[in-house]
Amino acid sequence: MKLRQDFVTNSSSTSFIVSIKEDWKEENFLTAIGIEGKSPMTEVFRQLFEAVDHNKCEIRMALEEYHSNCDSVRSFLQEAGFEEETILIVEKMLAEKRTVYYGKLSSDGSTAAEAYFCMESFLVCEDDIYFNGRVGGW
Amino acid sequence: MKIFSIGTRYYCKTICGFALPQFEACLDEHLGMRKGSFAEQRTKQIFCDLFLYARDLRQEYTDYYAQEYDNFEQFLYQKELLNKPDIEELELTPDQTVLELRTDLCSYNVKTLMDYEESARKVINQVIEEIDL
Repeated sequence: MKLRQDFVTNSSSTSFIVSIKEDWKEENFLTAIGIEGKSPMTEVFRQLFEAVDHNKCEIRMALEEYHSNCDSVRSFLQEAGFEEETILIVEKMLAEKRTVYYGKLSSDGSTAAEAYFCMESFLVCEDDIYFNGRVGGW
Repeated sequence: MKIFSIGTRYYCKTICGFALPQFEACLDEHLGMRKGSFAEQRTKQIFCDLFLYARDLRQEYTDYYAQEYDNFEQFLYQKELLNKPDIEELELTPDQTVLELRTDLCSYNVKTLMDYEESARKVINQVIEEIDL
């Protein structure tokens, strides 16, 4: 549990979509985003993985998780603000039987990495990983 | 090379003549990340945002204030309003300078990373201490 001793502020969140080719685990995620050797900065990306792992759910389950009235992944992602190009990529990955996750990062999350990446816009579109954090509250 | 905070501001103690391109080249050798990857790009962006608009305080002292203040430490105390104990703790040698990191000029988010918790600052310092400029 994180305790804040400064001002309480409004928090915001960023939606993300993530899918990796290999089994979902930290080692595979870190390799997919480019971590190869030992570096202190690996800790930042380990925290990012933890935040994503903690906040994700399988995208079809997200319809229920987020109390959406949408009846399809397409309409859910449209409502969430994702572009048509993103929706087509997600549909393609689902058709290829890849597990696709959806979730949200919070600006007052439990780690600095979560807060930082929540406020950044990013897109990783490679063979091993699709990681879209372009839609945000900022 | 080390980043430290005094009040709400961040500074970095490093060698005189610090140049961002040289730092970035050294960073490449220490990151342990795949070239062009998301992790490498993001990491480099963080360090670029930290140092891009840094003020070299010793350079500024030498260029504009050397006649007005007896020495660089006096300049830091009287002009830049750093406390004497903080200045003494730096143990500056004549070939070292202090950079004032002005991250707000390019990214408010990197300050979030630095302010959020000490572990993030520690990680960033571990990287730059390895580079040791």
